[in-house]
Amino acid sequence: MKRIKLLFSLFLLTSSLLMSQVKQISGTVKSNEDGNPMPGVTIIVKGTTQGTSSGADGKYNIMASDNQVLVFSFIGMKNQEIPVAGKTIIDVMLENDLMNLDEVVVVGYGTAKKVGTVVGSLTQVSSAKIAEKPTANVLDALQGKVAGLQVYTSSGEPSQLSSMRLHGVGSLGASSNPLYVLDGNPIDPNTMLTLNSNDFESVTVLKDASATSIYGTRAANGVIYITTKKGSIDTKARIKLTTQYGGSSLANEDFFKSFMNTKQLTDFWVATGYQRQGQVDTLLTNYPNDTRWYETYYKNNAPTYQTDLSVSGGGGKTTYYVSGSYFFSDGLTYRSAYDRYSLRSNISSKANDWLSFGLNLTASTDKRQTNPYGTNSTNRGLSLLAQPFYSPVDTNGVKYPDLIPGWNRYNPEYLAVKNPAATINSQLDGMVYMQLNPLKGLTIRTQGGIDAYDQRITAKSLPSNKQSLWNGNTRETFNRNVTLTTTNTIEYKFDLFSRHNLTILAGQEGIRSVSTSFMGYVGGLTDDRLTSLSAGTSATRNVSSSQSEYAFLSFFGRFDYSFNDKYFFDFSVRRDGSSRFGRKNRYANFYATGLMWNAKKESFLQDVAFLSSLSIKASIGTSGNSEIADYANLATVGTNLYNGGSGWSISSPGNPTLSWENQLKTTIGAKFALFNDRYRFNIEYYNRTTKSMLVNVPYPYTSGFNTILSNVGSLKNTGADISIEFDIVRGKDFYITPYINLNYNKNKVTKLFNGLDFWSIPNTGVCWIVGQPVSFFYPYFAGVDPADGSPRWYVPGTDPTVTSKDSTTTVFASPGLNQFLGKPRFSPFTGGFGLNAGWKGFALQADFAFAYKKYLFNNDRYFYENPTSAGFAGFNQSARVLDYWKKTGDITEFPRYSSTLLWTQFDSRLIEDASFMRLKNLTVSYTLPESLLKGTKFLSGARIYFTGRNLLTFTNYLGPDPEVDSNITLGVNPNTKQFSFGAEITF
Amino acid sequence: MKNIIKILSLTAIITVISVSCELNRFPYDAIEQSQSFRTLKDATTLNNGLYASFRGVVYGIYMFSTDVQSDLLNATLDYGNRNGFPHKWTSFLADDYTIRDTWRFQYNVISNVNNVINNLGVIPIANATEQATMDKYVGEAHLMRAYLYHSLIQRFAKDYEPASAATDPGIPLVLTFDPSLKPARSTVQAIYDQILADIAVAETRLAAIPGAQTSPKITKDCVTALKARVFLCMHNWTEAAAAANSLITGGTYPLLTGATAFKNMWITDGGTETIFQLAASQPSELSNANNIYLGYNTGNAKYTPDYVPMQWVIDQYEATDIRKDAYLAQKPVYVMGADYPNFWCINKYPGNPALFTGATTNYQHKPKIFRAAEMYLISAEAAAQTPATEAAALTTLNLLRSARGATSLVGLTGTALMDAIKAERVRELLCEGTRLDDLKRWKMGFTRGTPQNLALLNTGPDFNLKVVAAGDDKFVWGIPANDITTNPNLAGQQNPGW
Repeated sequence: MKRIKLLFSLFLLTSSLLMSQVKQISGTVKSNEDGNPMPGVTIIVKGTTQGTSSGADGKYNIMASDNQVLVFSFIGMKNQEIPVAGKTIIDVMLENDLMNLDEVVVVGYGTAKKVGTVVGSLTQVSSAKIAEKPTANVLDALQGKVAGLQVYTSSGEPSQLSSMRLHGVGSLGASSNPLYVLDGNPIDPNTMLTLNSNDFESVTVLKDASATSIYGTRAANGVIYITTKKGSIDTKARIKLTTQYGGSSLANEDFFKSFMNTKQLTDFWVATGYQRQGQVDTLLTNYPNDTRWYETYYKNNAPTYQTDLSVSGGGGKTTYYVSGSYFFSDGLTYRSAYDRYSLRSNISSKANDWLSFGLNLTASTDKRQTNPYGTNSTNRGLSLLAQPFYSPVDTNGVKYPDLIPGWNRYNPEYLAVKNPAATINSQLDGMVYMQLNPLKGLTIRTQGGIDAYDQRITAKSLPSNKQSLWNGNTRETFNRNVTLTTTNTIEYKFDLFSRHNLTILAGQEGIRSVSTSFMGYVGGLTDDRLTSLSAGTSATRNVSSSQSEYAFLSFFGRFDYSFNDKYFFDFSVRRDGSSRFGRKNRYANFYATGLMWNAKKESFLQDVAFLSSLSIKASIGTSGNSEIADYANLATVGTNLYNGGSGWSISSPGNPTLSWENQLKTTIGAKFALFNDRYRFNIEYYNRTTKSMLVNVPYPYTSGFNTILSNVGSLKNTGADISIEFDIVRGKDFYITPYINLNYNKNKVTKLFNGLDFWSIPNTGVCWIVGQPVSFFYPYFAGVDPADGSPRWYVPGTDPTVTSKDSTTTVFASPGLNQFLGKPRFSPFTGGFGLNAGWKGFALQADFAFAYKKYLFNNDRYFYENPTSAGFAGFNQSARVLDYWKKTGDITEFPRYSSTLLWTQFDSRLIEDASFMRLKNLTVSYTLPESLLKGTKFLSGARIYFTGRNLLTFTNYLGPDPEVDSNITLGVNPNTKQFSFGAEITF
Repeated sequence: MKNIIKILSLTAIITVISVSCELNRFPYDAIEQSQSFRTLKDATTLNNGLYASFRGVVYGIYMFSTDVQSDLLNATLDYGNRNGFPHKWTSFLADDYTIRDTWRFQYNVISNVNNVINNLGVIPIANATEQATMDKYVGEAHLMRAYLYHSLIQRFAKDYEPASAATDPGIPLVLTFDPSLKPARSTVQAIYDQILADIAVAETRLAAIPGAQTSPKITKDCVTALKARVFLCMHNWTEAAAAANSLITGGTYPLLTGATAFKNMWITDGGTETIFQLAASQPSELSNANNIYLGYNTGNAKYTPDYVPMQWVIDQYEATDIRKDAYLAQKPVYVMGADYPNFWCINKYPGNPALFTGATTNYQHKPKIFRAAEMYLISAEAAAQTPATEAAALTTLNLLRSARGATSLVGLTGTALMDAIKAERVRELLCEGTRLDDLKRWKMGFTRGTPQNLALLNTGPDFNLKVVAAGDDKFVWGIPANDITTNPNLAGQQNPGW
């Protein structure tokens, strides 16, 4: 058969030779942007394997005949096809295609669309902006990049993932996590950690109902759609090697440097009468040191390393992208690190006219270690309580190997070494599809997706650990989580009278997820070399296992219509069922509709020269939230043991009427560009109302429960997104493009439960008040009385939801003194700004992100600013406590010294303004000129770069880290800053 | 044509692949409540469940919080504010975690008990043996409910006074399993009536269950012991003494006299005098630990306790008293980087080696719920209220004292007798969670007396110098803030001073 083909082609060749003669064609390829010659452009004779590429001067030679066509292609440029037709010199200007690469998006299900034709609201972030960051947490790079998307990274653990919130907090009870979709397959948010961001082509954030409603399930908080890289047909293999090395250190040391030194502390003790001079003198004779303890508990310059190799390209009908990568990052605290190996293979092929298929597969294995000594632990989180006169090293400067004298805690390295614990996560994510195109415009597609991991957690206390000497233990935990998604769609795209474009889509999706785990534990280990489960004593053996499942079943459809590329309309509908809800309320319907008007296409705007483009859109629709525990609807009894016999106790009250949380979102927006596309604007207004929220409604404890999950209340978020980008200078060799993304979000509780006007969630300091945003609710500190140094608090009025400052009391009592303070729990104003600039081979990317009016309860200060016996006398404290009342008339931060008086209470002082601005990213790169690479004969590109993360932090917050996304922070392992150098070589 | 066939068949296959997702999913580690009352075996499982839940609300904070609040202990400089709020009184508030948990988890066990009591009736009974088993389960559930309501009423309501109990606010009374209930506070009298009613049911149903030393299950003797305790609180001296005496004279629980045997009772949880002691085993059946008294540090083999006994407590014991060596021990104490060799610590809960999960103690014990010694004290106290029985009271007191190696007291009557009984309760029941309730019952205040050594202690009016007047509001704990706000029927019913 092969031979016949060969003969046949020879015959063809001969016949063509007969018809027209093959001749040499030459020419120069240039860029239409700057007119410079372009080296490395692939030129092939269409329909043959014959090809060449242009030299450093852009010149090329190729043999072709008159009836043939030359195809010019280059990554990032539009392909051009030019018939030879008698010419012997063919000069070509290639046009930049980058804009087009970015502009195709997949919205919901079905085939890709051009951005300009999508009715829904979305923001796409290209790979260049998120790749090559010195962190495994790709979400961190999105901070400040998408108007309306709040991104916070709550700790400096290398395996920390960011929390994401689109257009405010969507529910008072259920999760506000957006839905993550990887190449069409929904994935767990935690999967994001295991993916190599250098494989990402783009990350698209779908914001409005028109874009998200078809995802029905779990789409109420927006959708983050990740598209990974692909090769392209008829492209030479492109090999890219990237490597970078860097170090991390504390992002902001202000907090750590704010503590008292030995002299300050002991002088304070004597001045307040806590200790007599004689006692202090003895102490200082025994411990003559001045230690900065954070240097013991936090490392400096912890290494970060990553390397990445990828090959992409395509043959006749098949495209491929394969990559492998390694990432390593050491944390600043002991036993804190993350390293990951990952592989990816994306292959797609068009088997014939009507069948195409593809497989995107990524596998990774990573190791996660996190420092466990946070909240309430003096082994790190509260380690700054350590008195500076103690020292981690002896008089010869040698580290104490285990217990630190005086401080009486083990040194952190000892704890890390003696209590090893690591999670090994093996991840598999993939998507396989088969697509039929029996008729033009008709696409039938079936897709199977898998999102799965196996996790092995090994935690030990070594037998030689002095905390439990010669009695070590080992705990081995295994978790398996498999989520399978099957999606079937049928889509028909057609035109009527060439001006009416219609698309009809129908589909079905099923999701099944099973999580299982089991655990084995033994104690009684006596030898560090023998710590397997089998080495333990049988009496100490303990095992457990669990399994949990959920399933979704959905049907959906969408109708798109556009007229003349001027008027667009879409309507989508989805019916979802979830196993998590009560039998009778399991199914819910969601719908959305949107309109877009491409106004620039109107004849009356054609002549308005300054207006380069203008489109106006509006959408309305519903979506749901089901992010609650599996089986939440069932009343159950759980198991326990008594005297060796198994027992049952009530474990969950259940709620048979439990159903979907429902959201209605309306969005109106305008997108326009001015002066030859130089100034680009995107402005949107949204109104988001969540009803039947899945809230843990508080019950009196006498019921036997504290809360019961119910559908109650409503919540409203209204706000605006503004994105502006403009080209100060625009050219291929020199460009400066600053940008700004802003979001203002007004959050308001509109209805609660049990007829309540407000509900203060006990022991959290957070209150839901009808008519107000989710807010802090604490006693209002009224300052220290200059007359007698007593702390004072405002007495709340009859309605504690209105701030009252009418009278004060010196007797602290919570919750009796709790009142509304006007401090919202969620920052209303967030965004980012930055700059992309380049000159010749140099490129600069600087991205700032900020959050304004962000408040955070700083629980650390309760420990660090409470130096009396009622508090934490005897421990080191913040130097701020030196400002205390001594005599009548003193106006001070802290009250008089009295052993019974707490200087810091859980009151408004601790709710700090944690607004911040961070230089999230600074990247400077240099791309080596082609002239330099020419000599190498094999290199086609080389770039070196420096990238830094969190290099600058601006904040007035007094704690370790303002970025923590929580109502309360205590002992956080704070964010880090990274400096990293890298190189990228393309073959 | 061939292609068309292929396309059609592939389309058909894709349509068939459409998964049918089963949306009825059930948990693997729990079963639906509605399926849990079917057979006698289910009743057995539920019965075990009640005991396991009950074990979760004794010892730990459920026991030591009131001792920490009382006049027995000093907080060391390394106490880290653990249990600091009850100790300091002034900053002890209605949203305190100790108050919350004490209330919440005891009511949680009550809801489990109610679930069992309400539903056991639906289980079919085949024969007399099964009926006997069922009777036992019903009796045990009622006794637990009586115990829990008594525990709660002591903490959250005024002491029982016959004259005012019918009007004094008690606590919400919940007798049916229904999470939607939002009961108001019943009166102290109503709660005690319910306790007695539950005791009566238990008495009938458990009549055939004989008592045994260190019984891990409720016996008829446990019913009698609770009855003695409850009647003492209700000022029903005759009934209290009768119940206590029946256990003393019953002979099942002879007092330990040997120093070693007595000490071992507090280490290995054995002995002859415990009436009811919950089962515990490691690693899966552990109780709450009384872990605030020693703070053993393996690294330097020293002790860093949160709370240490005051000097007056140590001075309570005669040199020959076997309780001194069992309840107290001199340890190398290390606080704030300084050594205090031979410092007296509470050593009543050193940890049962059989329950250790590591090389060193986890302070785990099998919780002792009723001890015979308490019966002697109840009997003596009840008898001392009536001049005619004062002599009997002294005799009973001396029975206990002599067993413990203390000298016998002679000729005491009236206040002196009562003072001796009060002192004996401190000596015998030290750190068993009774002190604050006793002070409340006796309408006494206190002054935290002389400490062992000020150098390692937190000092000041909230600590070593604490003075509390008799009848201070905070002898009665506040109703947890959560219930005041979520239960409209409790609005405005908070205890005074909270």
